[in-house]
Amino acid sequence: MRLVFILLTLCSVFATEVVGLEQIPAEVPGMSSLMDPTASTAVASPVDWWARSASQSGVMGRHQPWNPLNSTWATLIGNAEIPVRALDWPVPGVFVKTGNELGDKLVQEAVSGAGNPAENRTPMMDVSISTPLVAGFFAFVFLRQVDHFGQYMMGERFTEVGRLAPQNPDQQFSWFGENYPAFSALRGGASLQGERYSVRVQGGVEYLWLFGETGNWIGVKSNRVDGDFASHGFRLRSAWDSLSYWNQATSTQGTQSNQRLQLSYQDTLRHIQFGMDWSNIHNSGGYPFVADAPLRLIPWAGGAYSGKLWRISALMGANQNDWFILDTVGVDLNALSLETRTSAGSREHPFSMDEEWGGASQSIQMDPETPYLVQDLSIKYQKNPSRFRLEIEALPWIQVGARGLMKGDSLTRISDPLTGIRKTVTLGTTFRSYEFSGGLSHETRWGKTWERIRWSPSQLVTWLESDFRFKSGLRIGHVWQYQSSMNWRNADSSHTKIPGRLVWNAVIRQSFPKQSLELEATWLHVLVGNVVEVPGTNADRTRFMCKVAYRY
Amino acid sequence: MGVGAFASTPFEHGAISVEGGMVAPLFELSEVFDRVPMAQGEMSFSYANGMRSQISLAYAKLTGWKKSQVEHLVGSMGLDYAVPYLHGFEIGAGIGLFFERATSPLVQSSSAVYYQLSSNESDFGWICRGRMPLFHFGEKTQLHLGVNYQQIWTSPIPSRFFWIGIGVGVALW
Repeated sequence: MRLVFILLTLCSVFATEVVGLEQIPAEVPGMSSLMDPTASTAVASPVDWWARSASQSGVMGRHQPWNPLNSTWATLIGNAEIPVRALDWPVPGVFVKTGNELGDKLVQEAVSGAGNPAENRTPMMDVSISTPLVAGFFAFVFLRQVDHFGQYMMGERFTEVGRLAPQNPDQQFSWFGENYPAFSALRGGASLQGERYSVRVQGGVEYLWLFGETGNWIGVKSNRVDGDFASHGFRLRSAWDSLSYWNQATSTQGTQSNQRLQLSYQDTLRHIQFGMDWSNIHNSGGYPFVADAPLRLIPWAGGAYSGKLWRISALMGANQNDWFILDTVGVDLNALSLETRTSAGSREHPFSMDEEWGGASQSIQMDPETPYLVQDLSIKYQKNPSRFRLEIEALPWIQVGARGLMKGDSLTRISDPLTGIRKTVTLGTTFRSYEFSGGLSHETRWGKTWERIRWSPSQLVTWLESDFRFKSGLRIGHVWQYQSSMNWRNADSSHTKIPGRLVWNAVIRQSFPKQSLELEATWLHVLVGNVVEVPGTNADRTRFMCKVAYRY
Repeated sequence: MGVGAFASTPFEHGAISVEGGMVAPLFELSEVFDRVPMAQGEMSFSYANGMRSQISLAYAKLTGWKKSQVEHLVGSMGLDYAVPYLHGFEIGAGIGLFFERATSPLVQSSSAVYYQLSSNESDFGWICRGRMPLFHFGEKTQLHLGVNYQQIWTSPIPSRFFWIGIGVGVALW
């Protein structure tokens, strides 16, 4: 027994020694996809952003196909998951993280005059505290607010809700401050893990500003309770989300009650899983997101097989209106591996709202009723001689039924196929405790309808990253990343070209394992030139954050 | 070796110190703000490789602008290194969080222009510092001369301050 323990400890020590380059942390866990150095990204706000990594195909943007096994349960609009709302369960301990967009005026106001409020730089805060783990139980509470990417639109958001009672957080749409930030949440919960079961509950109040498909900023307050019970392979998840909306400018008020339930069974030995998702949406008043069919139920089932040569996985589900298939077939031949991935469905998300209502003359059909298909084939060659790593991937893909914008705001699926080949080369090396890695990913595109896609990600992304780990527990990691220009299709059928950009991200982390203490400083997007990446939204700015964490 | 001795194990030694001196706004800021007194409290711990970690809080009330006072609060965290052969002279650097607020009604009630400084404003920057031990009082107490350079990452240009002070430190363990 003791030997097993020692072996396990050794394994974990080695695992921490040989891990690859660690990703630089984003503001909050829900924004981590933005930090993937291979990804082309465009940020409108902490709530609304678009990202596509080198391993993703198609142009799904933020409308990633729903997968019942890893849905974030961000039940707000349904058709686009909101990662910043994803549930996360902290480890027992305390942490404080705070940051700011760099470049406030501060004392410079005394020299160069009062600062323009739209040029103000805004902070972020993520604070979490929990009880120690006692007999598998702990309770926690956290406050998470990201004011970053918010100042430019503050005026517009302010007009919507007004400053009736500044001391009332509902009027300011945040837990603290007066910036009307895009995301502000206070949540608490508890987790109990037994040998054969686990029960977790989390609830809280969130304020969000959504950047709708209509181009409007929509402020929503959410009272939300999530529960998760698992035992013997069975799992029951539930979410109850009570959303309220009001717009002072148009004197519109409305609420939505959104209930979700999932009952599933997973057999980890035989790799089969099946389950059922249920959703009930009820609107009252002028709530801007409308679901035509309030009650929806979708059963699904899947399985996986992985042998020496073949890997197969399949997941599918259907009801009277919707269906989806997520399949992969892979072959591993030494250094070479092939994998095809199929994603198809009647729409990306079976619980999507159907319409976004943006005032009398403005409304947009959110989920075009034509099926979509994304099919790709990944051909990957990997070579890992002792010190060097090489990976070459060719990723041809085809997408039918991509979302596009027709003239006059109408959202539609494009029946002409879009095709592309993504070619990615990654090289890495380890020298003592220094690690270096760099890569390049380029996409060749075909299809006449690219210009109708709302967001066309960068065709070229290159990156160079390194990580230094010192014996004292100090880690310095940084990334250079370049992404070429992106293209936005605007509702009036004009285009906005977002210039290519080079960014530098860095992290300094000091851990004191004996004291269970960790300090971290992060710089994000140093060198950016205040570029607006999503037309009509906020500029991308250099950000700095620091964190102190203590684990029990 | 003096107070907050350098050792190779984190937190093997711990010390506190207080420092008082004068802060000088640099470059453009020097034309607007006066030189004013500044005070700092600090905790330091042994770190590794002959370095020491420090966490400090400094405060000054800047005067001279529109008969206003601007509160200038700096929290910083960083590392010090004792330069060999220089009789305990230390250099150090760290990350600072700067908090500022103008307290004068002249700034707050000006209706035509809204100064963001009239509410609480904060941003990050970095500090760089040097410290020269002057006298020792027994094993645990030491008098030192400190110099400190602060830079806030403000726009349109960074804001810079320099300060010099005398301090006393006491080793705790």
